[in-house]
Amino acid sequence: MTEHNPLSQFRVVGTRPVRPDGIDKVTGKAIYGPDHVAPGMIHGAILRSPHPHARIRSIDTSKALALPGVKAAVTGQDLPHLPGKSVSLGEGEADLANLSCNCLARDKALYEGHAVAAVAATSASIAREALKLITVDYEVLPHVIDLEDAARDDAPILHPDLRTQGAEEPSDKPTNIAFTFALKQGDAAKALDGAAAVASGRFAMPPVHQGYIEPHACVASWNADGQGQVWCSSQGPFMVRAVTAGVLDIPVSDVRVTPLEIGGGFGGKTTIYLEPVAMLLSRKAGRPVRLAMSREDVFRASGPAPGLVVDIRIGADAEGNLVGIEADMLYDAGAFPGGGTMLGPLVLSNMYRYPAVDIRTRDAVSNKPSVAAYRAPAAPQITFAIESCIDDIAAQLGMDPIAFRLKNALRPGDTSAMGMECGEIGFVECLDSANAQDHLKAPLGDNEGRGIAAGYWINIGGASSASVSLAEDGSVAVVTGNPDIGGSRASMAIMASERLGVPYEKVRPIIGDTATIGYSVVTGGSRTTFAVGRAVVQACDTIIADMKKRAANVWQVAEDDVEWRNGAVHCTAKGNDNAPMTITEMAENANTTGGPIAAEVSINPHDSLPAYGVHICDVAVDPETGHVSIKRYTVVQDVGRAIHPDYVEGQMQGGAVQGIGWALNEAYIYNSKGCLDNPGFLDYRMPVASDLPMIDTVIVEKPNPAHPYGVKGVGEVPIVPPLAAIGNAVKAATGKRIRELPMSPDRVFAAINGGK
Amino acid sequence: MSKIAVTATINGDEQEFLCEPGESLLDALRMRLNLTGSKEGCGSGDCGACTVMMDGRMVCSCLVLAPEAEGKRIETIEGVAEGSVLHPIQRKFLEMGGLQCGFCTPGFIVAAKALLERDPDPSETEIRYWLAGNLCRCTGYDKIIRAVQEAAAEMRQERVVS
Amino acid sequence: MAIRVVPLAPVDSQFFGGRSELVVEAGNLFAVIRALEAIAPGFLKYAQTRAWFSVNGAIEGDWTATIPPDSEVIILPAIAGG
Repeated sequence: MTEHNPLSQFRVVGTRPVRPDGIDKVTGKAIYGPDHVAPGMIHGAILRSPHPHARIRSIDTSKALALPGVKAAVTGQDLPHLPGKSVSLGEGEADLANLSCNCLARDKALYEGHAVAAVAATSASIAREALKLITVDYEVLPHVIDLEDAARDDAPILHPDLRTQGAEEPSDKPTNIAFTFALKQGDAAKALDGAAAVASGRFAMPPVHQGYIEPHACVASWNADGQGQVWCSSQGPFMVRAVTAGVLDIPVSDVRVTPLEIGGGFGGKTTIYLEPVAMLLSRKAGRPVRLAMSREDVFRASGPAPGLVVDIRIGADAEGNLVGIEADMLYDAGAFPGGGTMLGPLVLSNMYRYPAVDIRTRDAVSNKPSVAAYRAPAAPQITFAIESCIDDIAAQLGMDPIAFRLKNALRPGDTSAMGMECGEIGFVECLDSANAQDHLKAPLGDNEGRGIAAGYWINIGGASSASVSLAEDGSVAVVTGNPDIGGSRASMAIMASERLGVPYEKVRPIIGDTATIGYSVVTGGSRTTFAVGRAVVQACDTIIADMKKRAANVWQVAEDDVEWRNGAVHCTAKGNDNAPMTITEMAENANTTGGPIAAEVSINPHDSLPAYGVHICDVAVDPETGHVSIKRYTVVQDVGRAIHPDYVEGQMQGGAVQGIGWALNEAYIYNSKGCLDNPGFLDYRMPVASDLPMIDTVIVEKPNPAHPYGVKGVGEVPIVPPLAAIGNAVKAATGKRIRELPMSPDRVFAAINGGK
Repeated sequence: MSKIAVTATINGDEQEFLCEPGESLLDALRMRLNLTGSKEGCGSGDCGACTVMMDGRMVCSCLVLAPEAEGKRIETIEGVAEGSVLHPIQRKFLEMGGLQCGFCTPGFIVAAKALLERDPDPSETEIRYWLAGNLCRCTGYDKIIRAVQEAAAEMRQERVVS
Repeated sequence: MAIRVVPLAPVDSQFFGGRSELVVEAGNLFAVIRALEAIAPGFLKYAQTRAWFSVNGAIEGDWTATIPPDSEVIILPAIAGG
């Protein structure tokens, strides 16, 4: 079932045309990261540490270089040393020293799979052979994998120079705790001690991987004159340019990045792993070099989402008003500092009204791959704890879980605990819509249970550029710098078509490289249709204004007497019978009215609005095995406005299913040697088609006043509620509250058979 | 390393290529024949992105050695459309939003075509189990399953008409 | 015009000796940040890459935009998405 009742005020917005890049993608013609070939290209390979923590005493590549066909070898010593340097990515920044060390280890290998050396050869098989000829002298060091162990005072130290940022009492003692943040308002302990209902507990979950099907891959070509080119799939070519140039310590103008089609990212391709290494190899070999990860490399060495351990306590008074929250969060950072520590408090403070708040968050480094963004970074983890507790409190008070949430939900005009004012958010509308779903009334069978949970995500805006130009026949080229990860070409084309009054089929949306269009931050943060879309619409408005001016000149009337309507200029001057001129006529006559008609617009909006979603989930729990299966699932979400509802629903469904995998199956499993035991899709089990029912969607549209068509951003929030929705459903089915993920059969079986 | 000469019928055309003895059919298709529509998601037969037909059997081309293709009939995503006319499954994937990033799409389309050639009227459960060897991380499978159902219905209709 | 500035952690301890509130004279964010740079050298660079500024409850990305008198500016660590 899908529910979407668009307002009929638009001609194209809200319709479901075929995506412009569609045929290439169903016929195998689209060129993704691992598909690009450059003339004369050779093949790179990366040697990775077998140890989770080891000092690198020396690396000898001479035998590898002597193998016929090998053209270059590099180690971390070939990268410039950049202590303390960072580069802005528009939203946030990257620490270049850490990023460089993650691309190629300098002094120490910090996790199993950490890149330590690389070669390039005339064939991939020769490159792989060459890796075996590299000798690395390791001094194996004690390692720490477990998050809580890593935070202890006596843990093996990863970075001797690391000191906790944000600590109230700065210490000069080495630590693995990279960051801490606390937020206190009122007396939460007192409020909770006097509460009528309190839910509390320790919730814990290991890292999980984004699981994009396309492994990271790139081709780099770096010429002797210093000019380099990179072809790769990523969530942002400008991000790749900034960090590649930054790590190599060269001007950004010497790196031109051409985005290829991207085979999934989910946040995991908002950083880089290969590009500077491929550049170095290319410079040494004098040839373009391809580097590509295997699936094992992806699991062992690219960013998972952080695990979390949180002690949480939430309480309400007898009338069902929340009185306070305490939470002490510890997030994984992986091998390097820079996890999304601030995001936990952000989520905690943006769902419900709490008169008293006492929260602390920290992140700790450990000998695991450096974490990366994953769809609403840090939100699913903490929301699992929040929404489990909220459900338990409602149950204690004998209140309906939706009514209880409605009573406490943030509304427009409220101010969150972090001081952000809520604009036209749609949390209440989502809860109301969920409340009206037939799903809630459907009967349940034996061993079945129903759970609901809500989720929040901030949605960002940020620097965005778009150009719109008319071809001589009135067709429209729309160029942006944002990779199309799930249908954004279609939404850009729809918005341009709507604004300009031209048929959708006459709009050609193009993803430009870093030299062809102004700067844009990544496709991520649920920002593209909001921020880049707004740039597209503003560029359309600019050429409309230009065409009106030209028409006024043609007709020799005042500009005020020219109106833009239905894809044409109309003369409104009294007693004037000038026939309207369509956009096609304006384009045909462009060169006799002042030249080509085109505009580029760059903006930096920050008035995006958060997304809220409410998920309803029915599970069946097999009492014999503890296996949990999803019987029915409904996603309700405020999207502001759905530009192309198919791809909006697709985000809602895909996010929910990633959340289902997180809740039930997915986890990084380490052995006692500190090595990842499940670096493949067989043992890291993501949901497959036969695990799932259809995922029903209900699109709620409460428009965002800051977007010309009301867009709020869609992509991330759907992964937030499933963990708790499923936990709440399992509780309803079994009476047991499970506080650890994944809710795998053994854990559920233990819970229903007398475990805690 | 001496290479092996392989002759196979690829998408209806006889093709010859040289490959290394240990090379996968997937690598040969991608690197020797420039048929990059088949994708490598895992290299271990767990994701289905490299699905092709070999003598009418669905295989993960990453698990087939290229020399094994000798004398065989191989069909890849590049051969699914007839000229510029899309196969109904391809068309339904487009019309129904059955793809987001599109990386897994070739494998799904080849696998779904194999299913519908075998069983023109599969149930939803049958479709879900047949496609359980193909991973998609973007869509949650809903729109993929619906696209296959719609394509099956349309193909049955065509059969009745013709 | 007096502007109340509230630095959240880690900015408070990193730059302002743990102070939870500062008052500066400024008419836009550029002036706010210049004033803060004078108090805590190095803050400007941090502000350029790592901070968000919320003016009376809403994130303001344009440092040239006029800030009304008696406004509250909260300094937040920059947040990115996936």
